[in-house]
This record gives sequence, C-alpha cells and structure tokens, in this order.
Amino acid sequence: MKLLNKTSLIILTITLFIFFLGGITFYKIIQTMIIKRVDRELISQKNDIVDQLNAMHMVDNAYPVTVGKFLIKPADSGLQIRESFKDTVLYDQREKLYSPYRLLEFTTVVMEKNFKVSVFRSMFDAENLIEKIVLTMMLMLLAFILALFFLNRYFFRKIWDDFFFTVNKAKKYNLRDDPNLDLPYSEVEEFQILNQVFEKLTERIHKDYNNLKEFTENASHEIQTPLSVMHSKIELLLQHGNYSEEQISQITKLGDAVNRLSSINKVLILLTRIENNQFPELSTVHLKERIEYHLGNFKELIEARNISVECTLNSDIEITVNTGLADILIINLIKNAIRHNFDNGKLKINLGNSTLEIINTGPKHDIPADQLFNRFVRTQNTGDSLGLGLSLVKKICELYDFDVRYFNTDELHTVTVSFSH
Amino acid sequence: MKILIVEDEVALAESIGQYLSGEGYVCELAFDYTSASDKFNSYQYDCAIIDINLPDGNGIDLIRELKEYHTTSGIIIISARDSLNDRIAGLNIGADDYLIKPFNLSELNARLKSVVRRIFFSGSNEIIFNEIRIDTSAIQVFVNDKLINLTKKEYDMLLFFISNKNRVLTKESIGENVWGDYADTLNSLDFIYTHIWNLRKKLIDNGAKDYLQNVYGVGYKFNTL
Repeated sequence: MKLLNKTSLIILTITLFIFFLGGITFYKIIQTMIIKRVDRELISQKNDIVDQLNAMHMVDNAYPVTVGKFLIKPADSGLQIRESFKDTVLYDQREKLYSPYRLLEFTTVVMEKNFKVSVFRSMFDAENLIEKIVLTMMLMLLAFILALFFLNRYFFRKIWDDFFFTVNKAKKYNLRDDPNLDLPYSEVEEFQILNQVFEKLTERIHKDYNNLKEFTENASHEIQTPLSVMHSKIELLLQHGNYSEEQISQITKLGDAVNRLSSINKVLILLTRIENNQFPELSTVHLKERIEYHLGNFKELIEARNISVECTLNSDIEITVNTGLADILIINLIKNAIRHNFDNGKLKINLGNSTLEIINTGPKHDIPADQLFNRFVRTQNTGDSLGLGLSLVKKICELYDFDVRYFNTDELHTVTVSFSH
Repeated sequence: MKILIVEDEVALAESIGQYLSGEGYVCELAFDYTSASDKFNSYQYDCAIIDINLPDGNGIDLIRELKEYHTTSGIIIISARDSLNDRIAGLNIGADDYLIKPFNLSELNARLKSVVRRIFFSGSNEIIFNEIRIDTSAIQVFVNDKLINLTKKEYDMLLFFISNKNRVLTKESIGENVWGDYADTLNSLDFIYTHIWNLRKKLIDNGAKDYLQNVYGVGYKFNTL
C-alpha cells in the first residue's frame, strides 16, 4: 500500500486509541475532582449542622424534619455512621424530572437522642459541566488530529516530489538515450543520495553497454578476414579440374557453408551497426519510387519461380530515413516474400497512406508471430533461417519507430509496416 | 603489368597473388604499411590492391602517399568494413574502386580489369576477343561486327566471363557480380543456368564459337579453346 496511506493508517489507529483512552480517563479525572469538591462542601455543611443542632438544642416532636436540603430522622441508639457518601436520584418537583444528587449521611447525638442526618447536594450542574468540558476537549483534540492528518497529506506531495521525479526518470530510462539524467539537486538528504546513486548506476550501465557494442562490432569484423581466406582458397581450389566427382561435391559444399557463414556475419554486422547508430544521415525517401526500382531488380528472380506479382502503390508516402536503410528494408521484405514462396505462387505489395503491406503465398510453419523476427529462427521446410532478413527489417523499424507486424492464415503470409508519425 | 598487393592477412594476400598471377599480372606482396611504403619507394607498380586496415598504419594514408609521390595509377581498396564514410574517404583520396571482404577473386579480377581499361587504355572503351567486340561505353556487343541483342544481365555476365577467361566461375560469384545483393533471393542459384544458356545461344546463333562451358558441379567457364 502507498506510503502515505500506510503512515496515515498507523497514525489514525494510534490517535483513535489515544482518543478513546484519553477521553475516558479525562472524564473520570474531572468527575472525581468535582465529586471530591462536592463532598468537601457536604462535610462543611455537616459540621455546620452539627454545630447548629448542638447550639440550638433543638428538639421537636414532629420528626422527621426536612430543613432545607437536609433531613433529620431519629435513629436507633446503636446506629453510628460517621460519614457515608452516596449518589442518589431525587425527583425535582419544580423541574419535573429526576435529578442526580450527592448524599451525605451521618448520625449525631442531640440531647442524648440519636439522629440520622442526610444532607443532599444537586449534581445536575456539575454533571452538565463535566460533560461540556469533556466534549469541548475531545472536539479540540479531534480538530487537531484532523488538521494534522490533512496537512500531512498535503505536504507529503511536496516533500516527496523529488523522489517521484527521480522515479519517473528511472521509468523512462532507455539504454539508447543520453546517459545524462539531469536530476535536480534535492534538499532532502536521502533523495539526494538516491539521485547520486542512480546517476552512477546509469553511467556504468551505459559504459558497459557501449563496450559491449564495440566488442560485438569488432568481433564481427575480425571474422571477415578468416572468412575471406577460406573463400579465396576454395575459389582457387576449384580452378583445377582434376578432382573426382566426390571431391568436387565436397569442395562446393564447403564453399556453400562458407558463403552462408559470410551472409550471416554480414547481417550481424549490419545489425550491430544499426544498433550503434552508424547510419545517422537522413533524407526524404519516396517509397513508391524505391519499391518500383527494387521490384525491377527482382524481375528475373521472380520470373525464375514464376511468381505472379500484384502491385498496388496507391500513395506517395515520403519518409525521413537513411536511404541505405530504406533500401535494405524494402529489399529484405521483398526478398523474404520471394524466398519463402511457392513456385507459381503469388506476391502482393500494397502501399497505403501510412502502411506498406507485403503478402505472399508460402508454406505453413508453426513459428509464432512474435518469434518470427528473432534471428536464426528456422523452419522445417527450408532449413535456412527465416529470421535473418526479417530481423534486419525489425531493427530498422525499431530505429525509426515504425510498427511491423506479421500474421499468417495457413499458406498466406502478411508483413505490415506502419509509418504513422 | 605490375601489381602490389598490400594485405596483412598472409593467406589472403597469397590467394590474391596466385589468382592474379594466373591472369598474367606480375604480383608482389606486402604485409604491412612500412614494407608497402618501402616497396613503393623502391619499385614501380602499375596498380595496387590495398587493405585499409593495416596493423601499423591506415591504408588511406598509404594511398595519399602513393598519389603524392608515385606514379601508381590504379588503386583498389579492399576492406572488411563496409562503411559509407570509409568508402567516400577512399574514393575521394583517389582510389578507383572499393571491395568488401569477403569477395570473389574473380570479382576482384573483373574490377581490376575495369580499372586498368579505364586508366591505361583510356582512349579505347572496347574489349575485343576473337569475333566478339564489347563496347563498354555504349554497352553493346558485336559478333563479327554485327550488333547482337543482349539483356543487361546477359551483358554483365559476358563482361564478367571475358574478364576471367579460362577461369572456373562458381554460380555464386556470377550471381554476386550480376545480381549483387539480390543474388541470394532464391534458394538455389540454378536460375543462372537459364541465363547463361540464353547468352550462349545468342552468341552461337550470331556466329560466335562455343566458349561458354559448364563445369560439372562447380559452375561455368569461358573457354578460349
């Protein structure tokens, strides 16, 4: 759960607990204080009454006597109560309701006779007072807590701004981007540390990545030379005619393998070079014209397999890309459609307002669409990599943010490139 | 014609030397910048084939040196790097052609012949072999002075064959030369057979001798009988 909510929840729980406990305690304390005070007054009244009774020698025959808020009753001589406090409820005739009272009972001897005296004091106002005091205090506390709560939420955003800024930068971070993150200085020490650590991390990643790219490119180039040696020696070998059929077959198979290795390496080099941004020059490329040009070059190859071509170049899309890469893209798309086609098959090229569609008939294969653009994926039929040329297509599309999709229904394969910008 | 081959990979330099010697060139080899420079200083060469990635220097500098101090005219760069910038730099500095490794020796040979024609026989744009005359500027082929109708691809093939007379040319090298990047479009290079057969027929029908020969299992050869 979110940090803010987590801390809010904890604070809320604790404050509710304190609130509850505090409320009860506070009530009890005030109540005790007030009762103590009332009792003191009752005692004071008791003393007054005793003094008065002794002084007045008041003996009357009509008992019990209620004088003011105290009641005198004759009591057994054996009964002796010094001071007894009770809470009681009396019915107030005037107010017509029951009211709480504090009662003090004691016995006293007047003129050798034992009397029980009960002194009453109204608690109505006191109780009222207690309730009002406690309520006010609680409301104040509540207001305080709520204020704290909302202020916390408000300032949370501001304090954590720096953090979220860094997090957003981290989310958007891409190896291909500028390694300079430009994280602003934060006054919060912990966030400043976070920023510094993050910057160091991306710097290191970037360095490692560049080293890897360089290494890959150099390795591929190093491979070119021994391949050249192999190629040249095989070519020289083939110049001499005195081999048996078997030997010729072996030498040519050797040659074929070397050639395949060369193609694969060439494509790998191209892929790494595109990755390393070595085709930065851009110009406006007219797709319609380029497609027609390349189709012309493919003419004999298409005819060799008797493939019928349907070309619907409806729009004059212009894209701003590197011309070399645009050609590679088109060539590989068409090449792939011819390579993995049937004899007497079909090839359709549709150029729409923002898409290029290449459709070809071809053998079924069970490679899932998303894997088709991975390098070196092989089908069972052709035995050679379906993916190599298409991996170039994908790389170029990635570079320029074009969307490329493949799908097939049985024996009809479609590759769609979207240039929408 | 004397050629200096500057290439640090010894086996490759030897291969090139062997093939070109077979063509009648006098070939010498140098395996690094220093020895190449020394050789250029001491001897005369008509052409040079230079690898720009030398262990002790940049081939481009070597070419610059050549252009400034020596009379070597034809320069072909061979390189493992297919960078547009390298290509432009090389051609700007005065190289005549740029080949990327790995390449077919027959291709190198054809390019060399083309450079030689351009530089040393600049007046003539013709290749003549017996009854066959090729006009490279007009891109026309004559047999016994009669113009024959060849497609562009057939023309390219004939040129390639005649540049590599009596050499066994693999289908792959023919495909590379004539169709370039498109050559590996089909799963097999058998389609080349049709084109060669058509070329052969056109030549013979117009009175040329039967030079084009199939070398079983390998490729084809322009046999000068």
